[in-house]
This record gives sequence, C-alpha cells and structure tokens, in this order.
Amino acid sequence: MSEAVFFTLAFALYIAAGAFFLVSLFGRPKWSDLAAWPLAGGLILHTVALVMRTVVSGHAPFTNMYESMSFLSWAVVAAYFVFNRKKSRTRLGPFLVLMVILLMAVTSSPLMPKTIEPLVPALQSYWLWLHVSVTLLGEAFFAVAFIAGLLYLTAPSDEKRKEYDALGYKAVAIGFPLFTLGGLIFGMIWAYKAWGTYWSWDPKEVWSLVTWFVYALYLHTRIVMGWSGKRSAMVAVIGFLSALFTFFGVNYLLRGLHSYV
Amino acid sequence: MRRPMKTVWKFLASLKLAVALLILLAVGAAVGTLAPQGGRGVGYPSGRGSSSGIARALQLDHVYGSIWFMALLGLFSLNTIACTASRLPAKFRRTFGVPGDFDAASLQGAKARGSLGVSRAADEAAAACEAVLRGRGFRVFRKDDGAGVRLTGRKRRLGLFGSDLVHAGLLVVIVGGVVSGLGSRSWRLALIEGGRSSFASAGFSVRLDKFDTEYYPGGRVKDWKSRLTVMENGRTAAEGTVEVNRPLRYKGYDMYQSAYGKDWAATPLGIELRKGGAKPYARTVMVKPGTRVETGDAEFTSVTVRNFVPDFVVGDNRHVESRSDEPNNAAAFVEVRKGEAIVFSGWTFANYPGFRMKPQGKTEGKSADEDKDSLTVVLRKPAAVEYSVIEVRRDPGTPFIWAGCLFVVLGLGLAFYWRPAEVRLALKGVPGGTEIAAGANGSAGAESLNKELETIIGKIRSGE
Repeated sequence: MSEAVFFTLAFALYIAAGAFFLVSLFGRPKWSDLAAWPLAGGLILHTVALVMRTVVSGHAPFTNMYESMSFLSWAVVAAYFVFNRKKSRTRLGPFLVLMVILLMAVTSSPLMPKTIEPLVPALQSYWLWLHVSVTLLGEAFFAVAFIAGLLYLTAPSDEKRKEYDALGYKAVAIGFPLFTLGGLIFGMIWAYKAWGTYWSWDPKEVWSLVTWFVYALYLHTRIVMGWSGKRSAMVAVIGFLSALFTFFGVNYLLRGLHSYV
Repeated sequence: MRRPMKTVWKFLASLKLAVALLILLAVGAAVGTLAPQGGRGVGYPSGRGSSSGIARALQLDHVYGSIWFMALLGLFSLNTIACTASRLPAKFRRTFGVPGDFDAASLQGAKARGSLGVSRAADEAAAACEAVLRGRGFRVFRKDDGAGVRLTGRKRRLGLFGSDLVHAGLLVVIVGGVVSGLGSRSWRLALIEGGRSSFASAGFSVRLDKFDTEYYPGGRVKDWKSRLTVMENGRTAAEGTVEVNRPLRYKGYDMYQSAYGKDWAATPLGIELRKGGAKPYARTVMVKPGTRVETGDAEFTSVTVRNFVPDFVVGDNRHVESRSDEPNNAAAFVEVRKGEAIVFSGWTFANYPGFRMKPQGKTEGKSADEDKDSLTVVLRKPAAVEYSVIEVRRDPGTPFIWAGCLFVVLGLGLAFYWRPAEVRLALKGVPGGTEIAAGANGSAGAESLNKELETIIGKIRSGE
C-alpha cells in the first residue's frame, strides 16, 4: 500500500465525516458526535501517509505544495480534535471539515505535482522540519479562528455569538505564538544560516509579516480596546486570508527566493 | 507636563495609534510586494509618465527603505515605548503591591465562585486557608477587621508582563534592524581552487582549497562543498568545509556557500592536432582561451586560442555569442603556426569535429574525405574549471535580533500560557464556626479557575 493510497483513504474518511456533519445540520444533531469516528480514522490514515512519504522520500513531508497542503489539511483536523474535547453543539465541526475536504481536493488535483524530488541544497537542513511544521500548525489554528469568525458573523443568536467569539480567541491564542515562533523566528534563523541574512524583504517574508500584523491587530483590539465581536471576527477572517496568500499566492503570483512551487 | 507635551504624549501612548500603525504597516508592506522592488521592475518605464513618476516619488520601488516606511516603523517604536512607559508603573504597583480591600458581596461577580462552612473559629480557619493558598503557590495578603478576615491570594503574576516583554523584544529587534542597516557588510568572493581573497580591513584572507559539486543520480545538484582555509598573519587560523546551510564563522565574519559558476577563462582547452600522410602527427596541446602555447615542436610551433565560447551561436548582428555558460556547443577559434606562418585559422566545434568555419563566416563544409596530408584541428569537449562563490558577511545587528526574538517568544509564552490567577476568600464568624465565601479571577480561563477553586475548597475541607 503506497502513500498515495493512504492519502486517498484518509480523504474518503474525511468526506464521510463531512457527510455525517451534513446530516447533523439537518435536524439530527447527534450525528456530529458520530462524525468524530471517521474523522479520527481519517486522521490516523493521513498520519500514516505522511510518515510513509517521509520514509520513502528521505526528507520532511513538506518540501513542495502537494506535501505542504497535505500537512496543512492534517494539521487542521488535528486542531479540531484539540478544540473538541467537550461535546459542543457549535457548527465548527461541519464547516472546518468542509474546509479540510476542499484542501484535500486541491492537494490531490493535477495542480499539485506529487513526484518525490530529492532536496535542493538550500532545503537540506533540520530547520526544514521546525520552520514549516510549526508555521503550518499555527496556520491550522488560524483556520479554526477563520471558521469561528465566519460562524460568528452568521450566527443566529447572541449566545451562539459568544461561543464563537470565545472559540476564535482561543484559536488565535494558540495559533499566534506558534506562527510567530515557526514562521517568523525559525524562518529568520534558517535564512541566516542558509543565505547569510535573517530578513531580505522577499514577498513570502513580507506577507508572513503582514499576517502577523493582522493577528497582532486582532489581539490588541480585543484585549485592550474591547472590539470583541463583529470587528474581531472580521479581523480573524482577514488574517486567515492573508495567511492563505502567504502560503499560496506568493508562490504562484509573486517571485522570490522562497518560491518552492 | 505642559499641555502640548501632554497631548503629544497621550497621542503617542494611545492604543488607537497602535491600531492605526499596525494597519498602515501591514498595507504598506503588502504594497511593496506588488510593486517591483529594486528599480529593475517591468512596471517602471524609464523616463516620463505620471504613474512612474508618482511611483518613484512615493518610493514604491524600494518600499522597505523608503522614508515613509521608516517613519512608520519609527512611530511604531515610539508608540510602543510610550504605551509601555505610561502603563507599566501603575501595573507594577497594582500587581505587586498590597491588594485593595473587598467585601464578600463583590465575590458574586467573580469568574469562578464557591463557598463552604467550617467548624473552626474565624482566626484558625483563616490560618488554615492561608496555608492552603500558600501550598497552591499563591502569595497571600490578609486583612482583619470587624467584618471578618479577608484573604487575597495571587499567583503567576509575571504573566501580566508577558506583553511588555514581547514589546521590549520587538523594540530590540527594530534596534537590531537599524544596526544591521547601518553596520552590516558583505562581500562576494568568486574563488577557483587554490584561489585566495584578502580582507585588508579585517586582516585575514580566505583560500579555497577544494571545490566539489555533488549530484543526485538524476543529474540535479545535491550539494556544493567548498573547503576553505582562513589565513591570518601567514598562519592557518581556521579551516572548514562550507556548504549551503553550513557556513563557516571566523572572528564575527560568516562565510556562506552562495553560488557557483564556470570559469571558462581559466579552463585549459584540449586542442588536438592531427596530420596523416607520410609523417603522421598527433598531439594534444592544452591552451587557455586568449593565450598562446609554444609546442616546442618543429612541425607546428604554436597554438593560439583567440576566442572560446561554451555555447556557440551567431547573434543578430552576425557576431559570435554564447547562448549559455554550459558547454552545449563548445567552439574555439584556433590559430596554428609553423614558425611565423599561420597554417590553420578558424573555428572548431567540440560537437562537430569535422566541421570548420572560416573567420569571415564562409563555411568550408564538412570535409569528410579530407586530404590526409592536411592538418586537422579538433577541440576536445571541455569541462570548465568551476569557481565557488562564497559570500562573506559581517552583521553587528544579529545579536540584537536574536535577543529580541528570544524576548518575544518568552513574552508570548508568559502572556498566553502563564496566566495569572487571583483567589479571594472572605471569612465571617458564625455560630458554630466560620463561613467562607470564595471567588477567583484573572486572565486564566473560567475552567481552570473553577478547578483551582475546587481544589482549594477541597483542601480546606479536608483539613477539618
């Protein structure tokens, strides 16, 4: 059984979980608890796929867009389980899994070449492991905050709004330190070791800084200015869009040292 | 402070300014990625045109060094300093000073609440509560009066200063950036094996002893390895192998494997001279481009390579050019002399040994059945001498950057994971014992505060 098979099986289980969640939205709330089973199963198989990819390729499973997106999808599911320790009746599950399914679909599309390539000299470093994984983990939590933000903006009641607001904050509180450490700081250390300069204002670096500013804005307006609520949710949404641009947009639309397309 | 100063200070210390600056910095930085930087952009037609003029006036071609971006960063620094300075002293006093008094009723509004009754007298109960709180890591303050005993316990107070540490870290990073901007220097050394480069200002020189390129089975580059020796005062001061991601450090200078190239000018080319007939002659002479080698031979006295291109193509202006640096179509313009007479003069192609081209571009065509007595000149497929590009950098700003980053990480850790908790116990003597009302507050979440309170109450009870 190859890595691709495990990936596909994981994808199928995520779709099954999505189906369960869909049912739960139409008057059968208990199905959202059931959805956790195929979701967990998918996560396990996805983990196997990532491990296999690492073993077969001989390097970390995030050296091109296919691998990174696979890892990001995995991280979003993992983040969901971190958040879902209590049985909750929010719609976070269904919409987060929808996002995971979309991510997996793009990952498995022909847009993402899947060939295993040996590492170019610039990527031959243990910083590859630290920098990319911690950054993507942080972004997975930003994804949770994104969904929580959208759910806030479309919530039917004040009570639900409060729940989504708290969820969003919790997600950013976890994601922000991870993103700062992994994306900016580890990135700077690695750049210094590889290229001799910790910051060269290249598009990917700049956009990760822009993302950082947006989430810093989120924290400041919430904690100190009492903007919690609608504005907060919008900033969380904008932040994730910026993170997505940093991840995707820069690779395909802008050029620089960092374009590992 | 005088009024205008006070207004300025208030403005600088305001959060509204911080919010505005974060937005402006984010937008400004983003704009810089969309406009081509460095002035070589396609978007800037040289010369006139109102948009390119505006773009240049706004310094959109070098946003990150532009006046307005620097001004934003400067204002951001002032804002951070002012915000911290105006809030820190009071925060310090509030956190570490004696806490204010409270009454039992106020505990109703706490994030976590609890209560219990004990059979001991108020004084004894208070001592027991204090002990429990201390055992849980709280710093305890006590107030006794007619209404009873009130205890305030505080722990993880340092967490409140996480944000201040983050801000300090950011300022240190900005300082580091300024120091880098002013004081960093770099040099690119293109060295061939055995080559050496000196740094007069630093007093040492760098010599490349060996340069290797390793390849993957498919042909892609796997690694570049440069073995360097640093010489100072005539002696070897340091040596090491430099690869990408593995620089060599000497006296504050870092040496990086930056790139590599082919040095055709230093590459000896193999020129084969062959003559058949009665007196066969075969000899290969190694000649560097642009040089002449005396053969020491009576038959053909010297070989000169007038010109060499690794990837021959005749350009639009009918001049010989090289399409690339790779030896895809290596060609040499060779002159062979016998004494003073030139017996051969023309282009010879490594990939097409039988083809010869005259200097003016008139071809002689393939001479497959050449006269065995005539001279054949063949260029051997050349392998370039490679040079390694080592980038040497010295950046006095980096210690500040790493220190700043450390503060930021520690600060974030404190702010998000070292959450302060405050527990308040109001004890009132009642017939038969003491009633204790408890409340817990702090930036720690309601869940963990509840758990903490439950544990405390449990311990007080079990001490009964």
